Amino acid sequence: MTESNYTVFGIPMQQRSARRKLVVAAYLILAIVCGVTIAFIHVSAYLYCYAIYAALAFSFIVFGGMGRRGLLKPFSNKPPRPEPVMVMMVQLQLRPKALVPQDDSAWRNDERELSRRDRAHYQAYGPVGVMLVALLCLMAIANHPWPWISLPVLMNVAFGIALVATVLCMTLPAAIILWTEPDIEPM
Amino acid sequence: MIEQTSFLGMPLRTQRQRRLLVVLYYTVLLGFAVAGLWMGEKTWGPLVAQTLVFGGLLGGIRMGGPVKAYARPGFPLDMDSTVHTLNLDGRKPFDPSTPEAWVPLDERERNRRDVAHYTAYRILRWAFGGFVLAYFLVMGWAPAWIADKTLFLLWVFLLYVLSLPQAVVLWTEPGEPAGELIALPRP
Repeated sequence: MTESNYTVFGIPMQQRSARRKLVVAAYLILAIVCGVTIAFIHVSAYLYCYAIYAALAFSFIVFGGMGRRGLLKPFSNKPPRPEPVMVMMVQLQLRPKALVPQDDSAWRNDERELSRRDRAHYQAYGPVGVMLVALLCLMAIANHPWPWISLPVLMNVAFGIALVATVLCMTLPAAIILWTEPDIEPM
Repeated sequence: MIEQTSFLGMPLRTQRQRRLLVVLYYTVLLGFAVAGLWMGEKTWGPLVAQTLVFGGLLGGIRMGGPVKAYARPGFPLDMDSTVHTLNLDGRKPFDPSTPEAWVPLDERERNRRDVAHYTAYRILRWAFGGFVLAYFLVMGWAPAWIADKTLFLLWVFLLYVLSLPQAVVLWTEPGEPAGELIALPRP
């Protein structure tokens, strides 16, 4: 399920242990960003953007799956946009037919990889749903606050859960795949 | 994957009938949402309490719906014996001879379940983005109204999250069910 280079910022990721360290490090960074956002939300209401940006960066650049970059092939399983072929036939507006089949292993997920992708999304669906239930419960309590919890504290916790749920929604399926894929044998 | 050929009096033998059920389900849900937003906070308590009933109506996350339960459900206590009444022997499974017994999903059904969750997850990501965007847009010109309705909107979103994979299964499961599928008697 990984790209052919198997590296993130020059660090090889063939070993499952390396990928697990990457996932732990990524979630540690995301947890710190979320923590700072929640702690300083009273300073600026738009601080949450940084946590979302960080989650997007990990999803698109490091984990992959959502774009063309990162360790995982795109989940969409669609070929990249074709680049114009630099031959004379282009000038004639003709479409040259490739003599040899193109290597599509860089983007095409095989049957096993599609199955892993779908299973990871099934596994990620539950935690995201649970976060939503927790958020709903907190908001219900906030509507009729208990005397021993102040409303600002409740709203801060609810905001924190919403933020974490958003980050998990964006990153969890790819993280599950990276966590569970076995070691890749050297070619 | 489809466990029943009729549900609440509706036949579910063909894909068209199952799709009609999905459309009706979301129409009813939309009706509840509009009624809840219109009638105000008094209706929200009962609606929130019925979350699992509506969310699990199509099956999947619980037994009794048209979609087969994804995982082994919690078993009720066998109340015939005094030992079981005291719960000294733990929980007891259903009698496997009864039609309500849960049969594990076979490989095709597991694949269908995972694909449905992947599809639902993709839809959910876009829907969540749209939901947040709409929330902030409305926040600009009617902050008091949207703050008042947040809990209810979250509830509607949760129902959507709970039911979407089952709706995808019902929508995409091809044609007529297998010949051996018979209508199960309701308890």
